[in-house]
Amino acid sequence: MIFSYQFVQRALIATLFAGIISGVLGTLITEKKKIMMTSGVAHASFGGIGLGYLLGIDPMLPALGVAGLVVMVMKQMEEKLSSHSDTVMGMLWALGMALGMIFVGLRPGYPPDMTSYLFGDILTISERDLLFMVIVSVGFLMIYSFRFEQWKIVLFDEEHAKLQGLMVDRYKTVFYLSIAVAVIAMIKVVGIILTLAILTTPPMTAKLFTKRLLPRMILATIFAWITIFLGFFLSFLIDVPSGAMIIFVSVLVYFLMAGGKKMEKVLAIRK
Amino acid sequence: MKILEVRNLDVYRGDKKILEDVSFSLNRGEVLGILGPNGGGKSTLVQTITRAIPFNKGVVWIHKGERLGYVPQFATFDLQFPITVEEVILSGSAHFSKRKRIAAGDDSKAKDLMKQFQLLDVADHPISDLSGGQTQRVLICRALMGEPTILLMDEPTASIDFQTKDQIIRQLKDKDPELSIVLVSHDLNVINQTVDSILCVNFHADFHAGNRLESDQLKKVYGCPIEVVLHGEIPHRILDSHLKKEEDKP
Repeated sequence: MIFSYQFVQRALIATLFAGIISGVLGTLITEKKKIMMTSGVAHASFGGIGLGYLLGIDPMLPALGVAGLVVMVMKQMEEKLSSHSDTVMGMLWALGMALGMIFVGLRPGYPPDMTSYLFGDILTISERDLLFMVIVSVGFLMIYSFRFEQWKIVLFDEEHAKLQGLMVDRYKTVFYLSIAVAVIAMIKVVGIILTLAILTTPPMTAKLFTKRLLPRMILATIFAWITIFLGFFLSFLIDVPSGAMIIFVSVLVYFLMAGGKKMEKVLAIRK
Repeated sequence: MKILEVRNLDVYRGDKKILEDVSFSLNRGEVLGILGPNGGGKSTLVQTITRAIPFNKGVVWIHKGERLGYVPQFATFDLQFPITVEEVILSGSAHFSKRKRIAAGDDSKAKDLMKQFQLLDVADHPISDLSGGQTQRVLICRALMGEPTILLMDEPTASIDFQTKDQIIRQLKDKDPELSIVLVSHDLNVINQTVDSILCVNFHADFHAGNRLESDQLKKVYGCPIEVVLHGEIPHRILDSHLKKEEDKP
């Protein structure tokens, strides 16, 4: 039985917490249309991973630093430049990737295999990665449930939230840093390139079924659990990369559900 | 009694000067209409009063103890965000930020307002399901939750027809004659019917007591003779002298 292997058990625990991260923060990312930024942060963090290799430390630490730095720069840019901020994001995205390659190249000796960072490998998740995911998902649950009503208002209408005396800037800083942390937590599961998909596809699938925020978060979490588990299980069965299979399943589920919804509507009209 | 005064106000957005040397005042119970072409600085002026936008020179004085209520244009927030009508209205409560959520009595207050503005049927609906007019009424209810003494209303270009708008202003004044209202409008009809004084804003501002504007005063603000301010694509209807100019062209 595959579930008796320790690395499989770890992968299953990772699935549980990755689902929560996708459900809670992914929903907010898709609602606030921070998709481009999320993808940019994920790619730019490659610079940190390269730096980690060069310095001989755990690459996830500098990656987290880079991701945090990028979101804070983006927050400033959005406030100052608004419409041009995505150009800056594009540059940081490429710069991070480029620096990563340079750092790896600078390291003497045979270049390390970077595929597990680019495409993820849920089977190689270490205990430290797992602990990070647990802290992040429990942290998100606490931060976003403790003041859920206030969060909704800040995200819906900043100007009104300010008038009501809420510290909008603080909320925004927490939200932006959450994106950085969520991205880093997801890199080991599906990799830099596919992080965006795991944060956005389950929430988009959930959006087909409900127009309310909390049910959408819960449903997105469930969809994320199902798709990560299925993808991981299938990748194990037919021996293909797990990150790619997880994303394939999650996008497939979205299109099946969207198609089903469409059919339902067409049939309802015919009746 | 004077409750709001703006004196010699200059406002910049970035490097661009939006308003220059704007002065006016508002007395308790009065309705002030703000008119002017798109991009003339009407919304900026209102947002300066709410302190959403900082100003560079001048004075914005609000009598101590007055409570501001603000009804924004739609464009300033995300209409697709998954939030219900009731949640939006409750967020206007004065207790909202201080307590975990709201205080006792807020729920029934919100219900009363929804009843008054015919929103009870859609209380549980997400805001994205509503029509333009309904959304506008939700925002008015939200502003009224805080029991304002000064209500600032920044109107979207096309939402409710002018009779409904007129009706809402009257309804508000009937319920509370002491309520002061600042109404940004794109519609001269509303302005003429309900206001006590008019402020024409186009970079500079001209204050007119009374609700009659002569055509040359309007000409000064809009840069051409006009009769009626319409919604949508055509910001105003032009009179014949403007047309003649067009004909002169080869």
